[in-house]
Amino acid sequence: MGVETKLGNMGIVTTTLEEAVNWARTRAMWPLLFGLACCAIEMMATAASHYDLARFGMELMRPSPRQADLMIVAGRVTRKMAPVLRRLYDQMAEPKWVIAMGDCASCGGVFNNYAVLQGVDEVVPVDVYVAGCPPRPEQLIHGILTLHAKVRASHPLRQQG
Amino acid sequence: MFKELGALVKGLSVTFKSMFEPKVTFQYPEQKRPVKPRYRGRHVLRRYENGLERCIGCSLCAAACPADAIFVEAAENTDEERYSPGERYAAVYEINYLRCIFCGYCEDACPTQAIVLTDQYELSFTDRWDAIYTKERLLEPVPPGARPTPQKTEPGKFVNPIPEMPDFPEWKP
Amino acid sequence: MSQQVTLTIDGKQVTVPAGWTVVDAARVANVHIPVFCYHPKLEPVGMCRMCLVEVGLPERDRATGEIVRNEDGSPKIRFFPKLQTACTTYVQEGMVIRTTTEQVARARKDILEFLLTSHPLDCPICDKGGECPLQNLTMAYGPGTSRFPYEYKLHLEKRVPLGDLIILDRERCIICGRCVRFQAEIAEDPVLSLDGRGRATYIITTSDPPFDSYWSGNTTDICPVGALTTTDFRFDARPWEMHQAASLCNLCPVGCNIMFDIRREPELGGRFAVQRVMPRQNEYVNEIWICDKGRFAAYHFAQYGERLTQPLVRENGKLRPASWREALERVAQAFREAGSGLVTLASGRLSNEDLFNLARLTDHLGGRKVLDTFLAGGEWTDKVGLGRESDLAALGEGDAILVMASDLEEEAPIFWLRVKEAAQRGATLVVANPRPTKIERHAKHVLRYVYGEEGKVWEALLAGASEAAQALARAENLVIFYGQEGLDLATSDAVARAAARLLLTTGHAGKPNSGLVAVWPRNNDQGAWDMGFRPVADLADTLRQVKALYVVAADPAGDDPHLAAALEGADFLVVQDLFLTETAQRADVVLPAQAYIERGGTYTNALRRVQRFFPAVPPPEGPQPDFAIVAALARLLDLNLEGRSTAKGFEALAAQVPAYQGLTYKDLARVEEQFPLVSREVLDYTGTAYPNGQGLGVVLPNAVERGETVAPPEAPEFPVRAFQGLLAVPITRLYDRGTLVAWSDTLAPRLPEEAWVWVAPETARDLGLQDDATARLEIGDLAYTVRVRVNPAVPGGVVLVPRSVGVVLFTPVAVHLKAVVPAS
Repeated sequence: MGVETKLGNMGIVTTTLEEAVNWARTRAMWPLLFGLACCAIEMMATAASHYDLARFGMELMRPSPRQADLMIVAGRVTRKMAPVLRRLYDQMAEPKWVIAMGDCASCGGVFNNYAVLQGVDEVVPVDVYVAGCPPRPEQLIHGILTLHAKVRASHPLRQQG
Repeated sequence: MFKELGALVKGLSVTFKSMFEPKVTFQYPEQKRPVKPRYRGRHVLRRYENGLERCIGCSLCAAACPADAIFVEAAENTDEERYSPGERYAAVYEINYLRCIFCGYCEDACPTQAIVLTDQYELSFTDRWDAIYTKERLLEPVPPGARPTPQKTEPGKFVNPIPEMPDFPEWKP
Repeated sequence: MSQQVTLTIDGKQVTVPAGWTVVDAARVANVHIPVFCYHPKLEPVGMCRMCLVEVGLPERDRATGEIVRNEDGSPKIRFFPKLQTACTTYVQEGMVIRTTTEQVARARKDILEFLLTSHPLDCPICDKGGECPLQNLTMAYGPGTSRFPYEYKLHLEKRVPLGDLIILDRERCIICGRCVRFQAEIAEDPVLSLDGRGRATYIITTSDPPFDSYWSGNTTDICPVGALTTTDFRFDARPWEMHQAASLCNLCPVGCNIMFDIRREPELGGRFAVQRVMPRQNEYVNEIWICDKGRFAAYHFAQYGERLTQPLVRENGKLRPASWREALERVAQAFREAGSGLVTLASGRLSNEDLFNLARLTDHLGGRKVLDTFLAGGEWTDKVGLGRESDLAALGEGDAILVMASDLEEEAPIFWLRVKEAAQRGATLVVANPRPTKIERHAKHVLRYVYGEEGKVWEALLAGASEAAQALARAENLVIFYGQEGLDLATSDAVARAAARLLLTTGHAGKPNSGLVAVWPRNNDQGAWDMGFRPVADLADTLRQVKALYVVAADPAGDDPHLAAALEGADFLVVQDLFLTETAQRADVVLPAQAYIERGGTYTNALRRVQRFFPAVPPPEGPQPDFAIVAALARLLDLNLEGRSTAKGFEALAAQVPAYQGLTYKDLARVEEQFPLVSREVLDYTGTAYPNGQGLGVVLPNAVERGETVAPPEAPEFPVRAFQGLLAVPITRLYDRGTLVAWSDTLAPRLPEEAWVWVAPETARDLGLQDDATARLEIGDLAYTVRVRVNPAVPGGVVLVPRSVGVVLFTPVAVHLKAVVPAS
C-alpha cells in the first residue's frame, strides 16, 4: 500500500526496508476507539496520564476511521452493532489492525446468548485478543505490545509480492 | 492589553508549575505497578508438598463459573498412576481465558483449595485457541524434592476418598 | 375400584385406595415424608427408619366397639406411644398422621446423623452428588454438623466390582437393601444379598459370574446414595453439567423410553456426546426400568463405531469418495433403468418416516418392498393387535396371557417383566415352548412340544379341549405373545394366523388389553409391516434376480455368506447404512446415514405404541437422515417426498397409512401424571428415572377398531417340517455379538467371546461330547468350531445355537455336530 509495494523484489534492501516499515508502523499506530461497554472505561484510563498511551505513539483516539490504523473493540458487540463495526472497519485505510479488548469482544464472555456476537472475529479479522473483564490498562498495553511484536514479525513486502 | 497578557501569564504559570510536579505516568512495561493483595489474575492449580495435585476433579469450579469458562473431565486414580490423594482426579482441566471474568467463584467453590487466582494479568493472545489453558499450563511446578504426577504409590496409603478439608474444624475430645 | 379410605395427614384430609401406605398417601396430600429404603415398586421393609411419623387412630370403646367421641363430637384420636414407620403402615379409616411435630423432626435429624456416621461425605467426587437423595434429605431435615469426627467413621472398601458392569462403594452404602430387594422381587435374579450383621453388614453378590443379571443397571438408579455406580458412567461427568434428550432404545421391540444425558466429551474432540442412558418413566411401556443391554449399548455404536462419513461410488472396481450429488445421480440413473426390477431391502431399525418414504419411492418405480426378518405375522398384529388404550398394567385377575415360542427375557426383557407382573397380579399365564424359560416360573399351564410340531399345540388350543385352552377362551382379556424360537417364516405366519383365529373366535379381538403381540427381532419391524414391507421366503433367490437392489440399514452379506454370493446377481447395489458393512463393501454406491441419536423420528413398538424420539447430539458432517436421502433421491426420480422434517414426514404418513390415520406429533406428545411418583422430580428419588414430559406415545387402533371387518382366518395348515437327525435351532440371547452392541466397550466383558451351542446331556452322550468340549458344527456347506455347553434344560436331539454369536443360522435345520479331536 505504500512505498514497499513499489520495491517488492529488491532482496536485502527490502529486508531492512521491511524492518523500517514495521518499526514505523508500530511507532504511530493511531487507534480508532470503539468503546461499547465497561471495557471502554479502562481504555480511557489507558489513554489518560497514569498509563499514557501516547508513549507508544498513540496520540489520539480517533473516532474517524480514515485516520486510524488500529481498531480497539472494547465491550460486547450486539448483533445490531456488528454491521456498523464492519462498516467502520471497511472504511479504515490499509494497513489496519484489530484488538478485541476484553472477554466480550473476544468471544462473547459471559454473554453466551443470541443477542451478542460470540467474538468480533465473526465480522472482522482480529489480530490480538486481550483477556480480562475488563482488562486493566496494563493488560491492554500488553495487548498492544503483543500486536507490536506481531507487526514487527510480519513481512509486508512478501505478502504483497 | 496588559490585562490580556496577565491572563496569558496566569494561564501559562499553571502549565509551568505542573512541569515541576512529580510525574504520575507508570512506565509500563518497564515499570510495573504493584497490584492490590486481593487482585484476581490468572489461575494456578496447586499441588501438595509431595507433588500430588490438589484438584480432585469434582467440577464444582465449573459449576460455580458464571461464564462457563472451565471444563473438567475426571478419571479414577490407581496406586500405579496417582495424580491426587483421593479417588478421583482431573484428567482434563481447561480454562478459557477469553471467557473467564476473574470473579474468583471457582476459588470459593473449590473444596481442596486447588485452584487459586494469582496476580498475573498479562494475558493477550494472537489466537483464540492459545487462550485455552490446559492442565499442564495451569499446574504449578512440582515442589523441590517431590515427584511429578502421576506417581506410583504404595497401596493402602491413600485410602480416603477425598483429602482432608483444610478448613475442617479440629476435633478435640 | 377398590375400597377408599379417608385419613388426615397434617390436617389435610385425603382419600386413597385401601392398601396404600402412609408414605404414598402423604404424597397425594402433598406432604413430604422422607424415605430411603422405601420404593413404591418394591415391598416395604422399614429398614432405614427415615419415615418415622406420629400415627393416631380413632379410639374405640372396648365394650361396644363404638368410636369414642370428644365433647364436640369429633372422634377421639389415640396416638401410638412411639413413632411408626410410615412406609410399613397402611392407611386406615380415620387415621391421623402428624409429620411436623418436634418428635418427628428430632427423629429425622437423629436418623440422618446416624446414617452419616458411616457415610464418607465424599460428595464432591461422588457420581450421585447433585442428584443424591441422602444429600437432599440431609439438607432438608438433617443436622448442620456432625458430632462424629471423620476419623471415627467407618472406613470400608471404596471400589468393589460387583460384576463387570457395576461397582460398589461399601463406605457410601447405607444398607437400605433396595438393590437386594429389586433383584429378588423385580428382576427375580436374587444375586445380591446382605452379608454380616450390625455395623458390619455389606452388600455381596452370590452368583458366578458375579452380579449375573440383565437388570443390574437399575440398581444404580434406585440406590439412594452413590454406592452403586456403573462402569459406563463412573467419574464421567457431574449430573448438573449434562443436558437431556429424550429418546427410545432401539435394540429390541419393546421401545423403552430412555433419556440420554449429554455433555462435551474430550475423547471425541470436544463434541457433544451421550454420557449415559437413564430410563424415562412410561408406565405403559417400561415403567422406570431398562435392561442392561439398553443402558450399556444403546448409543455406543453411533458414537464409537467406525461411521461412514461421505458417499462412496464404485469406479474401476474400487469404492471412492464422491459428492452427494454424484452418488445420488448415479443411483437415480440406475433406479430409472431398473424400474420395476428394483428391490428395496429394509430392516426394522429404520424409523416410520424413513420406511414410509422408502415405500413411496419403491412403489413409484413399481419395485418390491422386502423386510429383512424371519418372523411373519405383521398383518395379523395390525388386524387383531392390542387395542387402543391398552395397558399391560391393567392385566390381572380374570385375564390370560399366552407366550408362544419366545424366551421373553432374552428377546425383550421388559415384556418378560410386564408379563410376570401381570401373572403376579393374578392373570393366567400359559407358556408354550419346547424348552423351559424364565417366564415359566409364573405359568399356570406349560405346553411343552417338540420343535416343528407347533401345529399340534394350536390344534389343541383352537379345539378348546385342554384346560389351558379353556382358560384362554374364558379369560376376560387375552394377550398372545409369539416369538420366533424354532419357527421359520411360513410357520410363524401360521402361528400368527392361528393366534388371530383364537382371538377372533373367542371374542377377544378389537378390545383394549387384548390382542396379538409379535416379539419382533428388531425395534421397528411392526412399523415396517405397517408401511408395506414384507419378508420373502427365499431371500437369496430374490436377490439373485434383481436389477437394482437398495439395501437400507440391513447387512445381508454380513449375516449370511449365501446371501453375499446371491448379491453378485444384482446388477446394481446401493447400500445406505451407518457403517461400511460387508454388503456395503460389495455395493456400487454407498450412502452414509445418520444414526438415530442424531435425528428424530418415531418407532412403533411391538405393542403397536407409536413413540417419538428426538435428536440427542449434533450429527457429524456428511451423513444425512435416511428419510432425507430417500427424498433427495425421489426428487431426481420426479417424485415429491417429504425430506425436510420428520414432523412433516409423519403428517404425510398419517394421511396415507390407515392405522396411523389422523395421528400427529402432538398426539404422541400427550403426557399424564403417572403413578407411582418415583421420577426424579421427587426429593427422595432424584438420580433415578426421568419424568416423562416428552410424550407417552399412542397405541394404534387395530383393524377391528378401525371398523374394518376381520373374518377369523381358517385354521392354518402348518407346514410339515419333518427333521432328520440332529436339529439345530437358533435361539435369541440378549447378549450377542450383533453389529450394534459389539461397539460397546462397557458391555464387552458380558458378551460371548466365542461361538457356543447348548445340547442336552443325553444328546451330548450320544454324540460323544463332553461339557466345554470343542466341536465342529456343520450346517449345509458351512462349518463352525463351537464350544459345547451341556444344559439339561435343552430338549434331546436338538442343538440350540445363539443368534449372532458366530454361527449363521436363522431357521431350524438339520446339522451335524462332531467332536474335534485335539491335534496333539
